[in-house]
Amino acid sequence: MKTVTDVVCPFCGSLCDDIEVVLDKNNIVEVKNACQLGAAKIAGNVDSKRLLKPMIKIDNKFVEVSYDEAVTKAAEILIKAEFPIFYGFGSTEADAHRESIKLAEEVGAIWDHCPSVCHGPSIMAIQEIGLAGCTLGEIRNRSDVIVYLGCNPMEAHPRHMSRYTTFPRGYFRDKGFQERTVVVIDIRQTETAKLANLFLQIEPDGDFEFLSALRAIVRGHEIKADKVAGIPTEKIIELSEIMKNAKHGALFFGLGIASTKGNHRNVDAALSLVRDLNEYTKFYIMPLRGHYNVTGAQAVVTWISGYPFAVSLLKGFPQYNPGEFSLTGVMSRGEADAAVIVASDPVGNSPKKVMEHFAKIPMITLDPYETPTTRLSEVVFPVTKSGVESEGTAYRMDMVPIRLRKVKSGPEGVFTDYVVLNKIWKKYKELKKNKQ
Amino acid sequence: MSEVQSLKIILTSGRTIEQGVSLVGTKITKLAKDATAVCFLDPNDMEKLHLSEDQNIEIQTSEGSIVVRAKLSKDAPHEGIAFIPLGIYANWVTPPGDAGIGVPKYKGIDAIISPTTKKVLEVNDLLNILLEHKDKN
Repeated sequence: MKTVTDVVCPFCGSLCDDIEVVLDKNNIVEVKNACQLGAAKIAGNVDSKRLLKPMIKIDNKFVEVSYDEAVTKAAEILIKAEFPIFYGFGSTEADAHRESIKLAEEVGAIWDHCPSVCHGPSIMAIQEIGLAGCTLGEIRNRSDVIVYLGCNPMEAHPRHMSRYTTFPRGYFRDKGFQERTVVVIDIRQTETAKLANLFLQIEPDGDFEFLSALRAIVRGHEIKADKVAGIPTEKIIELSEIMKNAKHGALFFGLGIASTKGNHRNVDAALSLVRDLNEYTKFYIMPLRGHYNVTGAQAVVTWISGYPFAVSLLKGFPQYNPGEFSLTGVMSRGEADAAVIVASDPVGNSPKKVMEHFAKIPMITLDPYETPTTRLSEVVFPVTKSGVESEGTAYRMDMVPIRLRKVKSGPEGVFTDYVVLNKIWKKYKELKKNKQ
Repeated sequence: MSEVQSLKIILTSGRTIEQGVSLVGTKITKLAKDATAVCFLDPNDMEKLHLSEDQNIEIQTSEGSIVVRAKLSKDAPHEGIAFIPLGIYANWVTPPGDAGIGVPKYKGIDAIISPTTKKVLEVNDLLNILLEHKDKN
């Protein structure tokens, strides 16, 4: 038996880096310190269906083939495609992101990733007015006011409150949670809301109205209405006082504002609120990012193309337009004629119109496990679980890059996402040269 | 409170621990179905429809309908709001969005729920429907 320490959890954007994994030879027998989500990701669920051999679909049935045969089939699909889309990347490491963009550029494709069904509106708002950001370490050590707006970290990022915001003792917060005030604004009294000092139950789609009223109160204006978006005005005044009197405040937000009516305008209002609060005190804002390396994919595509998501490389140079080039737009209009999916399950995670178009086009999918997306694919590559069976770099939700550790060996003969993408790139170049 | 046949609600999707665990290699298994083919309702809404825990309900939106099990919400009160965990069942009735920014409408979806005797389909059944759709086109 041996214990691997300081393992980085490859589940959510919190990237907890204090995980310990107990191994018996190459088998994981225990995962210590992780939440339920992280433990399941690292150890695997009991009835998980792991993919071990590349497969191609012949007459609607999967046939196991060698990597070389699957790579050739994938390259042939991409040679024929006129409007391919590359998508996913939230749950793999940064070198795979880079390699996928290299391939997408060579092929001439749309390259998009998880924000286009998640924090895309947040990114658009941040591009417009900027973000007052800091690290999670700074919040842990300094923040005395924590606001969770339209998010439920207790179910989506279960250790966020215990590691970074609410319960830990910090350098300037020696008494831990006794020195911190937690505010939750949500449409339901979630598990997170039950832990709050102040919970404000907002009406669905009332975010922009509420944030505008809060901004007005923070700036010293009077609100004549008794209630705004279902919240009594005196409670909004109370929240304004809590925020203005903070020594160091942090506001986290989720899809509860980014995916509701107003989308990027709601986030714009939240970013502006924090900008306003910095007239009075130190206040910071951060989106709660879901997949562990969605922030990394955003960083990589931005330093390569200049744009954070929904990037078209169809014309040989990058273009950016979320409504036009995001997965949901491209697929619901039935435009794409092939897809490369890496470390994601867009069939399971997208609206039905998108699922229906995925079923019509040839898909090449890289995933450690069977998913709805692999089931609908033409070519499926098994890959290692990055952060467990292979190393790499991931970016935490506060943009801090952290090196993922290899804990154990992957299944024999199974490659990483990076290696498979590189093989497809080489074969594609070869076929393209022969065609010319 | 009088019993009604169907109820207009606002459908909103999001994460749960059980749904998160089911993401790991079990998205086509019973674990995923148990975690995601459910809808959490306010006790008053359950009463209006005379629903009991785990009874099947049909959710109808502009995109179509899906059958899931009704569950009593632990996050109540939120009368008029139904919560469904992220996953293929929720997405079966999720609109692709009309804000012009290519983002699906995962929250605040207008929906009608009603008790049903129809069964909850397996994830496999839903995938087969998609594949049949492919063959027709």
